[in-house]
Amino acid sequence: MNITRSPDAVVAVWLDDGPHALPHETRDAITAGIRTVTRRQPGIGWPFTRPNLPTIDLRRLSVALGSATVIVVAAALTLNFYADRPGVGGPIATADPPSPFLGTWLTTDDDGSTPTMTMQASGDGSVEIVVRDDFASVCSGAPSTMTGTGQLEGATELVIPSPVLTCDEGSVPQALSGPPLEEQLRNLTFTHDPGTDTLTDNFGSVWAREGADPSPEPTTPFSEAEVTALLNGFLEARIAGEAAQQYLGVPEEDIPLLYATTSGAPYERAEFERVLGIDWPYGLTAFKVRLFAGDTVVEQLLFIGRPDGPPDGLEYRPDGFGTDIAPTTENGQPVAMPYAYFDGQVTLYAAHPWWMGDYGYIPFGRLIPEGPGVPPTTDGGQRHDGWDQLFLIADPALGGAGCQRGPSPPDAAALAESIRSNPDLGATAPVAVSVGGAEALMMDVVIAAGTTISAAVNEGGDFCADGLLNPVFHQDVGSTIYVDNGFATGLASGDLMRLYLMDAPEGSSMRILAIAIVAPESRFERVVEAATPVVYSIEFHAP
Amino acid sequence: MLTALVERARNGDEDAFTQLVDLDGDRCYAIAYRILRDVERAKDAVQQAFLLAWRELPRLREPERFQVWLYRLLVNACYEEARRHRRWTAHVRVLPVEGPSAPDSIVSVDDRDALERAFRRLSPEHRAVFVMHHYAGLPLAAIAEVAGVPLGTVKSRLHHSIRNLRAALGSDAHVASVEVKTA
Repeated sequence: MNITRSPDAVVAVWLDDGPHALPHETRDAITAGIRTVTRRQPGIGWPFTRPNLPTIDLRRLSVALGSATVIVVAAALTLNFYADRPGVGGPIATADPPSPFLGTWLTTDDDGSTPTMTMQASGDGSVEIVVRDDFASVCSGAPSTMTGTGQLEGATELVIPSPVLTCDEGSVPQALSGPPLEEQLRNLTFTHDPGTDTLTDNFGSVWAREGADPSPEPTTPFSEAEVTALLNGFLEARIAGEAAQQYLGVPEEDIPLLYATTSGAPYERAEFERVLGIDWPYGLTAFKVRLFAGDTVVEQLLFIGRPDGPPDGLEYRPDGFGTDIAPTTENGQPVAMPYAYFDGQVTLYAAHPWWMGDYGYIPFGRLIPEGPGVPPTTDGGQRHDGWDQLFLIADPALGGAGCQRGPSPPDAAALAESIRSNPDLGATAPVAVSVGGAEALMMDVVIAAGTTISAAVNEGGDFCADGLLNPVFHQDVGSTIYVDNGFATGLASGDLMRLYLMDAPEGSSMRILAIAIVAPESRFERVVEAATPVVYSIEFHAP
Repeated sequence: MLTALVERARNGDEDAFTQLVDLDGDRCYAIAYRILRDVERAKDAVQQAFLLAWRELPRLREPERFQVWLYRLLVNACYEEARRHRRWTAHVRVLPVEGPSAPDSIVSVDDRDALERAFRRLSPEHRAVFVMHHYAGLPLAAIAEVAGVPLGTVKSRLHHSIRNLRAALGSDAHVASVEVKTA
């Protein structure tokens, strides 16, 4: 007989297939593992450090036992490399550590925020501390600042009798459990370990000196000889101008300036160094390679060796995991890479600190926050605050329920006028500018924070990709968006939006392209300035 | 009962935590497997999530929210596992874990193959939202909390995932016909 089936039913059956019971060995590994885990202290609940958890994995045990610490390996191989190769420079010198407590200290939490603590000597022999956390759970996720003054007790202990913690946005910090916050913070104590030059506070958080490597070194399946051979071979191939692929775990097309500088000059010599001070994702070890061609220096960030990965060569990440280190620089300037969108109809060039991505329906870029404390990210900062954004929207729409387009403006000028005349939007008068050879209208748009706004959604409640207001919907998880009758209704974030509206060339699948740069007012100027070279690099290509 | 167990575990009771593992372990493993489509990685993700839960439990403010919190740890562990292995698993075709499907199944071998391929093309974030909603049955708001993203993003990911899986079945139309034998 013929029966009908819906694709969703097929998917549901397929999804249900598979194991449902936790294997005994995993359960046993968990119950054994908890006896080796140092638990957090109940209390103020700062998400401070994330020490490596001791998982029990027999498959990996042999690898771990067979691996020397990479600090030793890296130091040795670097010396070997420099000693063996004339024309290759030496490692960057490290400054002598200053006095035990003074300086800047960092720790990292599970959400990726990096509390920073500065300790300064004051006139009377005491020490002043300032701790800034950009995501404080005691402030419901808002940034916090803690200040205090204390005295050294012996050579290794600093006690702050009465630290004061405030939420930067004015709310009152609340302890997540236990006694009041003030009481829990009383006699905050930092103990210095001279061996590792780290501080441990009485909540169990470990603080590493800024610029130091706070993390336990990852194990690696590579021997010193393998790492040396890999990096030597790779750099020699680049100098020779061929055959670098054999040393790479990524296509060689992914490596900018592989065999020559932007001017086409071949490389003459090279060097590398280990990148310390950053806990890279997936247990990767990072190296900076430096290639010289006359006065030009190309520097790149390369990765090697997951603890459990196969020896599949060097890896390059166009985003560099989003730290303050540019993946590729030439004479210190980040090198812009091309990004093609809308089936190649639009390309633009973006360099660090932009992190370019694509949700599959709307191209975007995120601006890596300033400063050396930005931890590596594997999601472009999506789960963090403070990453301002740039969107490319084809044929942006202001209205139309259920993704049905509203009255469609014929061109960029008409769209600009409809934005200006919309009573719900605050918008500046459009200014004609030339963007990458194309004429554009530039204007700033803002909707006051907390204002109720709506945008078209499809039948699944998903924003239509071309909604002009999508970028300024409130991004807090707690902010509710109601979906009804083809519209999503929620709160405006209050972010400013710099819009560039452009008429697409004849033959394009879109009529209008909008570039929206979105940031809070406090960071808006910096973001717009940083976005300018990206916006002005835009090129249209006929399909 | 669950809340009481969580409170005991929060206070350091290892037996209580083991009971939580027994209560939630199967479900976590089933979810992790469906996100990662790999038995070994699912085991690693579950182990990592529970060990992190044990470490962080003293700071869990609301024991009644343990499950959502645990799912969040699990999803993050899945992200790490997925990305750690992403490159060299891309070329591996994974066979069904529990053998071939029953002959009267409405899911053909071709369907399974197409769905596996389509699912692997989704990002871990999209997979997590899809599994949390369509397998674990979590409401969208809870998924937003678990995934740490806005509700709109959850909806978007869900829609994107469904659209791609439907497309994998070659179903431009919403229904297809299949010939089956009846006794």
